[in-house]
Amino acid sequence: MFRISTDVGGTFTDGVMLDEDSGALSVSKVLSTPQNPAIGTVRSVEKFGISLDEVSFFVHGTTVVINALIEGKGAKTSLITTRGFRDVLEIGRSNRTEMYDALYRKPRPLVPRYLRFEVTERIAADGEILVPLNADDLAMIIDQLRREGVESVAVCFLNAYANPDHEQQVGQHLREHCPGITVSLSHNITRRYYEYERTSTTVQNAYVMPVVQTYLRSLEQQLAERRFGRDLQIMQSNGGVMTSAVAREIPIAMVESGPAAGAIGAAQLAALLGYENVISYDMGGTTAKTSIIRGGLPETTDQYLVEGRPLLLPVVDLREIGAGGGSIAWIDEAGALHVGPQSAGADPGPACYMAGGSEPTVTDANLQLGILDPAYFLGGEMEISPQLAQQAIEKIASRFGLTADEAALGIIKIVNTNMAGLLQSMTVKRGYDPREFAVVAFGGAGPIHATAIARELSIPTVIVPVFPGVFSAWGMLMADLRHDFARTYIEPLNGADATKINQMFRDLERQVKGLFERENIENENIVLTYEMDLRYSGQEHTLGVPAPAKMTDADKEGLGRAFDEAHYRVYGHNAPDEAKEIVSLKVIGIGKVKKPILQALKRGRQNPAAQAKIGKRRVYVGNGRYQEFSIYRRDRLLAGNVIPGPAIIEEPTATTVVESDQTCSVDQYGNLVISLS
Amino acid sequence: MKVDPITLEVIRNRLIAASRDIRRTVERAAYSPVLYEVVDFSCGIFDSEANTIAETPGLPSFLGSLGYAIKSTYHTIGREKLKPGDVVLCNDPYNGGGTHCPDIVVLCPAFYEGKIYGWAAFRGHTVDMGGIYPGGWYSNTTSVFQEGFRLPPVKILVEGEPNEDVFRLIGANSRVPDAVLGDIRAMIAAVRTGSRRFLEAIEKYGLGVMLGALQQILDQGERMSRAAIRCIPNGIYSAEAFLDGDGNDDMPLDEELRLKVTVIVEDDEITLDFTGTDQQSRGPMNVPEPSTICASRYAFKIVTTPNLPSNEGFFRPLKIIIPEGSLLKAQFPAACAMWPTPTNVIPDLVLKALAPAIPDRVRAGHFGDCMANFIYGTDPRTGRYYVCAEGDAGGYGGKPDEDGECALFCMNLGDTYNVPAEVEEVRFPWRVERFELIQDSGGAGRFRGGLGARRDYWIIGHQAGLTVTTDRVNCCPPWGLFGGKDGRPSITVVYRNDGREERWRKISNLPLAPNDVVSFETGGGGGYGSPLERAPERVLQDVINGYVSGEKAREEYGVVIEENQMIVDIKATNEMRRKKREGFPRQGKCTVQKHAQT
Repeated sequence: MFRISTDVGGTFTDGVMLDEDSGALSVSKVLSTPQNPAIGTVRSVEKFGISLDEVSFFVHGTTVVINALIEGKGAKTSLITTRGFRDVLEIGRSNRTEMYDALYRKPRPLVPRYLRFEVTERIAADGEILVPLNADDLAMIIDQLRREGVESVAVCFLNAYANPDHEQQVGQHLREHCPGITVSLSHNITRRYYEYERTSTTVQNAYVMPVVQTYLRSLEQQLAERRFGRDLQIMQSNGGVMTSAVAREIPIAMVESGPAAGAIGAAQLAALLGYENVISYDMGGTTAKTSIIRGGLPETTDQYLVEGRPLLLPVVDLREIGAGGGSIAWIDEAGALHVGPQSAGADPGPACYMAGGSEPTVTDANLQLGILDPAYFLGGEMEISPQLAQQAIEKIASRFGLTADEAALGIIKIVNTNMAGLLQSMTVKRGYDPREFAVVAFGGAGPIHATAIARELSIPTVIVPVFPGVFSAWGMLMADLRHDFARTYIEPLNGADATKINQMFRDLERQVKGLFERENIENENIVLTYEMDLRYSGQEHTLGVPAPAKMTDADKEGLGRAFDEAHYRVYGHNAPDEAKEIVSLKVIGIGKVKKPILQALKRGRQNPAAQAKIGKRRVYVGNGRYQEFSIYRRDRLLAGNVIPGPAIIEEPTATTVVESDQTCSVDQYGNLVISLS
Repeated sequence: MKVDPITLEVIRNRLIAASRDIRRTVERAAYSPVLYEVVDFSCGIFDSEANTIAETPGLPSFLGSLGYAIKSTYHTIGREKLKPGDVVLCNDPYNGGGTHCPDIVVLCPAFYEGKIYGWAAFRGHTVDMGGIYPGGWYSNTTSVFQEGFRLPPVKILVEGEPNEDVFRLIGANSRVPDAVLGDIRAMIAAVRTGSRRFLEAIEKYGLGVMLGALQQILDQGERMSRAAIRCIPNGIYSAEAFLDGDGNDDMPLDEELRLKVTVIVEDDEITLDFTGTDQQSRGPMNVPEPSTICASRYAFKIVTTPNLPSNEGFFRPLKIIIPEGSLLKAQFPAACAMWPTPTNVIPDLVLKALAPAIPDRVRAGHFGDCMANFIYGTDPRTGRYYVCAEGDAGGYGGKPDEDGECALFCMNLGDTYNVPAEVEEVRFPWRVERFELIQDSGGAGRFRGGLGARRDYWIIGHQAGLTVTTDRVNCCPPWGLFGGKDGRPSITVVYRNDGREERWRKISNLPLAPNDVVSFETGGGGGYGSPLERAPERVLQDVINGYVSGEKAREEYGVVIEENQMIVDIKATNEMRRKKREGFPRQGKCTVQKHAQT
């Protein structure tokens, strides 16, 4: 049997296939088909030339949700709120992120005001029903929904996190009376407080729901025609997968599916190689994205924004900066040199692409320095021009009276420090020591820069996986199913009733297990972990600490201590004597899927075979000095090969740099493991 | 030392990151909503001479005054008395603070080889630092001695060890010591982080390179600023506005107060001259000089380089003239609790003055007030005393190419967040009854002003107190530009439990009873351009969405809408617009005078 994953990106759709018997990997890359991404997906699968009834596990990552949100191409959506609160969606948090901009523009609501309806009802913060749901209001709204031709409805009532009764009533009513309209209820997505954020999340879910349902129907139909008979799995932003049946209900959970897959791939690869703490580092043409993996799971955040609109859902905590191969180096009016965030993109691309671009980019700088081989770009399939790269870089060089080489090195240094700063902010600021991490570098440009960045932060190990260009798709193949549910519950830690907490944990469990049941995951394959968000009473923001599945009063002291420690680690101070407060309870459910065995690479000697080393190249290293780098072809390396720096290892979609104080060894699966000597 | 452009960029980014770290530490570890949600703070990295090197947004009206806190520290404690590990705290408006008593500044010097080379600084609003009523923001004080406990620069950490005496002093003088001390601890941790990051940069790049880089960063800022000023036509432009005055509504202290600014643009320099502004007031509507300078810098940045980061160099081409004894340069011991009110008008006034010069880069007036409000009492659920300090968001003026924004915090509050109703209902003993936009509150215009918002609190089960200090109600409602109409001003309405209704602009310590409802209604923005030039289709959309009523569509825009079918009656509209034009000039004139063109 085979496992297949497909990752739809802006330009390419990547496919990875793994033969479960031999562990052999195949990859495919086809152009994406933005009109109907299902077509590109099917093409990428057809390249493997197998019948889909031989596929046991099929994971799909897609940009269909993020694109609908960015391009404003979702459904005609309506919102139903508590009376007096229909404008919460438009008012938002009233902040101005650009404080000097007199003409600031805030994010526009996805539901226009005339489609935002109010119902008389009221629930208190403790869940008590103060005003029952008014059925007449609802009947009138249903008329309006029909008249206006609304396709999707979001429902978010004040304090519904504490008691979802009214939302459930409305949901039932809508399903009965408007069967053609999709419905999103806020408590089904999250039971956390912050009404704007929860409303915004529910509205975004409703907005993409019809689009996603149509898309999945089309894709599943085409796969079925090719004899695929299992559940289609969809990559989520939290780093897990879900079946398409669940994805139809919570489509917003797949908003960052591609990038999350990269993080999960890094986590799985590292676990396989015995690393607990990993930084995933994905650098492509326009951006670099990183995330932190500790104890095998990527860290998630619930403060994620899409086009300025908040999502109150766990999303793999990806930090992104505008630094990729296409990032443009430029000089501002005051004469300061910057790199990015503007990118030359794929069209016209870097100057060296000979497609009309004339601005110097990071790729041009790498070519100028000698890191990239003009004759082996995309494995020699694409011609690039070192002359055009140099011409573009001269623009910077002449302004500062530098040589082109020196200017090119400067561009790389700036990019590398920006990225090192990003990694530092993700580790040191959270109290982690980067020296205890390994970097997994992928994406077209990741392996070029990762080793320099690692050195800057004293990170001892960099791992460049096999097929770094399609690593996100590989990551999907390794993902487990995952469902997170959280619930706001504000009580003093010491006074909290353990029975009540356990009751809520069981409720959350039921929600998680209910989904797994629909996904046919056996009970013995479900792993549940419990978390509690705590704070010092009086504080607002919280820190999560692991909690026992069955709380007793005796556990409280340990939880409090764990919180004190976390507070010290993250913020540098704590107050152990102060009272603590519970803010929310979380259950994270992992539905384990059987992990495939990876194919081992043929073993070679310590010294790579002669034909692996194809020559030497002069690379500019600063202060007027050039150094000879040995050049290797990755596909000619064997397990056990050791390559001392300075060296460059080339493959069609990526280039790995091993600096002079580093050594690269090829592990049993063919991953490049680069360490400081 | 001349630093190469690459190292320079690297150091600049490190310092900006250091400043961001300060913010993040406080935001996440703070106790009061006013810090963690309202983001009522600013922070930055400074050089040894108190020049801003890098800043992080929060409250723009705070930033420049942090430099004064450093200078006051040198003056009060003495540069030579500062030791590595010291952290300094101050809040005295006339010595180090520069704003009003509830705002606390925390500073940490960065020592390298025994000498100070930089500072990390943070200023944040604390919930209560004593004073006549809770909250520190009053409409009717007449002396700073009534406004709270004042600390000149003092060491809160001495060589790394907490100065417990100072902690106890502050605790004893605040109504909510736990929250205030919790916030102060978060601020201390934050500035220590910032200072450490500054030192790391010195250690990595060397002192000479670092000092050279700091100089060059400022020089670059200056060049950017000068280039931007050259894009504004030379001239002398002025505008004035009147504040409503201070005191309580039922017992006023000062009647309307005049603010005047003259903007002189000359090649690559700008002067803001406040001559013509009224004398210092008897009540609390006075501004300590550092805060006037901040507001002026803020206004300057808005019209020159709004999309670039900020440092001291940007302000070198700016001259500020503030008349002695005016309310913009208050003398000790003038009351100054309401300093934000006049300073809030300054950016709007500069935009108004420059409207004829750069019409495509200005907007009409915004509601323009922090809408600061304080509710306090004893929570019947817990028996604990609480103080809730908040602002409210209102409408912004119409823009050259689109409608004004609805419900944003006023300019001076920058990247401030409102407190969610669900959070309030957990923390405070009241119910939020509504949070909605106010129909017809945006000034009519070719580009309509944004709408104000209404937020109602139903007080439950206890007696509470209320202080509000709203301005721009009577004397200068949010103004329209180029023929646009004024926006509806802000007001606070108290619906008493016996059916009475009270309307307040300014009142300190108003008693609230159980089941009273307090309704904060913020103003809308002014319109840009004549409403008769607004496309009828857009007016119709506004009516469909309820932003504008059918009645106002007719009255203000001359658009007749067939409300049963929701379509524009084109014939009647043309007729009505023709009639209205006869009554008014076709293109409204800006009320601003341009005196001379140099």
